[in-house]
Amino acid sequence: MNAHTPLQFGKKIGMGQAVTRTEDAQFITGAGRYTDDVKRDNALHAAVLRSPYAHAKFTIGDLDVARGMAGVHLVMTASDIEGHPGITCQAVQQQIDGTKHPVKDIPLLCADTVRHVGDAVAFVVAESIAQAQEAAEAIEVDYEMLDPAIDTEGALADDAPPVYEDRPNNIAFETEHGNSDKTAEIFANAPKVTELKLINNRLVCNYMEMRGCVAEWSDEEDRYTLTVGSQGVHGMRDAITPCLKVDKAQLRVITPDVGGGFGTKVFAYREYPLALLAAKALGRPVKWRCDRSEHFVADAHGRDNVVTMRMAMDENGRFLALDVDLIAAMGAYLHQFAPYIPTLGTTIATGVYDIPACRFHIRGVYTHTTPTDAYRGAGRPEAIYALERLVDQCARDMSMKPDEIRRLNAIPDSAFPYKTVFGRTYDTGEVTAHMDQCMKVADWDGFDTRAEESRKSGKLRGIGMSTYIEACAFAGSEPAKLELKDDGTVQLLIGTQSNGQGHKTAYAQFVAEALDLDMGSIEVRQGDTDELESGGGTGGSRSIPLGGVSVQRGSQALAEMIKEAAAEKLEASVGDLELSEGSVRIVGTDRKLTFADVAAATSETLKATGEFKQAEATYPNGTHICEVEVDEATGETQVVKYTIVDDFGATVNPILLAGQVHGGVVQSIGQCIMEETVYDDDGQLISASFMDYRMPRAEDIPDFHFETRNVPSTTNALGIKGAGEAGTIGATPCVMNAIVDAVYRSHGIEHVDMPVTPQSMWQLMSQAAKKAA
Amino acid sequence: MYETSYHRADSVADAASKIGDEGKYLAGGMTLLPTMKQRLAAPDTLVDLTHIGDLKGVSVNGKEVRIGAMTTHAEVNGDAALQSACPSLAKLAGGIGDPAVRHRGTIGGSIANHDPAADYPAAMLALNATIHTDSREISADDFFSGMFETALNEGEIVTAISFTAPDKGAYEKFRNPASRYAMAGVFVADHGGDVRVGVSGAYSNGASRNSEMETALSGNLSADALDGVAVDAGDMLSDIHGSSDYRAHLVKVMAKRAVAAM
Repeated sequence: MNAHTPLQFGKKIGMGQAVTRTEDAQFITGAGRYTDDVKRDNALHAAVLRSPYAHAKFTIGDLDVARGMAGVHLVMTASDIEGHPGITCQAVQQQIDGTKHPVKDIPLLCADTVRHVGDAVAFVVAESIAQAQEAAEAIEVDYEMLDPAIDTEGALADDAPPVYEDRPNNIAFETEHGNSDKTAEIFANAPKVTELKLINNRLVCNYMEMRGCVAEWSDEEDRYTLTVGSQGVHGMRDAITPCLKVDKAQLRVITPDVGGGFGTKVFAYREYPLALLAAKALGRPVKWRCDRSEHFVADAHGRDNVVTMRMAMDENGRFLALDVDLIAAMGAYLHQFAPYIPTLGTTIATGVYDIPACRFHIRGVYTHTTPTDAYRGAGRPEAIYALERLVDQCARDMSMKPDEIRRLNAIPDSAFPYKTVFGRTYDTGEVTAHMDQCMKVADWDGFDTRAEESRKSGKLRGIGMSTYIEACAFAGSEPAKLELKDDGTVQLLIGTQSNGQGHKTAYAQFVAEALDLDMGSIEVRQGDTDELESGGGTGGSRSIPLGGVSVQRGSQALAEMIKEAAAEKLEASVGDLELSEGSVRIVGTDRKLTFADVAAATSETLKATGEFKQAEATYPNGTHICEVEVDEATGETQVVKYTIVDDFGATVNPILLAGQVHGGVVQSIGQCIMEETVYDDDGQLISASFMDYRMPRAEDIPDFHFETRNVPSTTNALGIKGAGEAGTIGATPCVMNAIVDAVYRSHGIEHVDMPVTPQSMWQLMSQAAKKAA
Repeated sequence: MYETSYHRADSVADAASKIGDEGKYLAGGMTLLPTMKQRLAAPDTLVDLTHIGDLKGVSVNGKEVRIGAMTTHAEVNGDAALQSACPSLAKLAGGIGDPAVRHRGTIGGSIANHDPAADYPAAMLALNATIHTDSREISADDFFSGMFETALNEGEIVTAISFTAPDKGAYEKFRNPASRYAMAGVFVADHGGDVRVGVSGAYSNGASRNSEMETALSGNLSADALDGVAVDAGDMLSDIHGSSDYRAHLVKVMAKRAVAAM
């Protein structure tokens, strides 16, 4: 038996135990019910006519042909929905000059200009999807193509085509964080400075379940209902109601099962209000389903940064100050939280190191590309990637070992709680102890022997590490509402939204423990604005740290209520009662009431609310170590060994936790050696399908060794640190540091950007070989 | 997908009579169906060949091998007689796509489509195979005429392929990291000292033989024999996954690995 061995029947369930996911039987057997499984007898189907060009002025010609086609009910263009605002950015930043930057909203439909391939021109509703698509193709659009600005850094040039005439150099916003003056002063006198410029490649989310929605209008209720895959129904509702020009009470949002979110399903997308407006206009439900090709151009992309960093050091490699200049592509519009993403990254920019000064300069730049927004980790993977790559470069420049430079600069255990330059207070962590344990488990010292073995089969082996920290489960709360049902089961309502993480299992563990109830008697409900008036949704690794504690507290409160109700009936004092296997019993006797008896005995339904308000974020941290093999003949890179020692404060369920970490690391391996979003100079997306977009597959992924070395959080009531994003945050620099290590040893190559494709690696090695010759 | 009609043919003659001007033969559909779903192809009729019994199965008689056009990759891969007579081709079939593709895709569909990145065409060239159709026999050398082009006439149906098993053979490919099709797939076959080299995935005119490699290997079947052979990048495909230079390099690497595996 190990930490991942499922529990045997009859064993009491609680926090920390390896309970298998209650969701899985349903998902694995095809009984999951996703948005596209929601059928309405009289539903119509919608298709979006999208721009084939990155930048063009356009006029729409004759619509009568399309409107007259078989099965067509509605052809909607911008002029049909005048006055309906677009989807607006909710994360406006204060700039260096103190002003708030202007916001370029996403219009529901473009009126006369398209700004990226896939931008929406018309919305067509018909009896079938095929009829809607055919009618969309029949719409005459006269495009006048204009030069686009595509390259993230290039868009800043004076002669770059403007995405908006009133935004010079395509700058969407410009901010600065940290202590600039002090940083400049230190750099002016620094004995050593290491500089590194890196690209953080743009990613397409590619969840398994594509987006979609079912939009309905009820005259009787005088309101809309939207069934949609989301990461929280309340945020979705609040982002959409302004587009509809109704108040919150007039939109019910329901989310059924969700097949992957990764941040990208948090957002409201234009198709949702369009489908709702169409449903009202037509008096019939309207269903829209995104296909994979649309997903590549229509759903927010992730990452896409160009970052230049400098580290000031003393003669011994001690870090003195960090300077970061970040260009973050926003795409054609400011997406819902887009400006916040690089900003969030700044707050952990100094990582696990004791660096007294840091300046972090950000320019958000408009380009004629699909807008970007949060993607698993949201700014934090970008920041830690840059920092951890820079730290390795510093080590090379100072002729130090990667662990040596980290040991020298890590925040010492005694300095926790540690306040960073950016005002964050890391509560707990044992940086070097985590690193030491990971190095030991990964057999860091035995690397040379393994490298020798690899060499025999023509493989260049490298080893790399990252010692990361991140901020998540930000200040706030997620109340949990519990109710004892007539049949003795317990229902939990909570405003987070599982997209596959296993919330039902994790939350039910807390309920089961407090009430000594079996998992099957606990119903976890999320995803309906009618059932719960508010909720914070799932994102930022917040569900379990915030929601879990609330569920525990609510369950304990309900346990007390059950005892109190039973005490009256059993004529015993509450202190003499205990909860046991779905009953409440007088200790040491066989006198008991089942929960159903208790429910029957109370005049009012027993309801309890638990709420934990957390004042500060949690700071998961740890060390990743991996080894890679580069095939010298083909350039192909394979991650062959991966070790993780993480500090998640306290573990709720080791199976769920390992799943989160593994998944996050896989996404990062994808970003490091495979995934690449390629636009050509005209703004056409070249990598627009799985034929060209390299998704990681099982064979690309090594076995993982994952273990925790938990130091409980002091800001979280149960000591938990969020775990949903840490995998992606620790992994990209770890994999890339290993790759650089491999080719630095063999070819002296220091500069390697993501993704390291076989071709790009072969080119790097060929160039290095030519140089050497 | 645009609307289309479907006809399940019960014989080659039945299929040929139903194809019309705008129809398409449907084999495994591994390329055609995704293309139709993306609305990039719109045949008015699909004539399904996969239920014609005469087109299915592997027969091996000594060194003579015949494979029906509608034999799936999984069947080619799993055929015990073929594994014995020509293990390299059986192994190639086991490396095409994924299990779902291998249980639907067929050898006839693959060669008739002549995707430059498909695996079978390289093997057909190296094995000096004969392509049998409902009206004639065509040598592999004459069959693959250009990217997505073959010597097939309108409406002509591939019924089988046949070849004499080589003394030795091997196929090595470097897969496109996204699609997992071959970016450079090299089949080397030794026919009594006469070596043929077929290449998939790399050449801009589709599957091709490399005569310089054949000359170098005939009489000296060793990986080192290829050291002096220069693969001309000028003939190669180029895309975001592999420039023509990279592909030319990979062809040589894969050829050497194939020879080493023989």
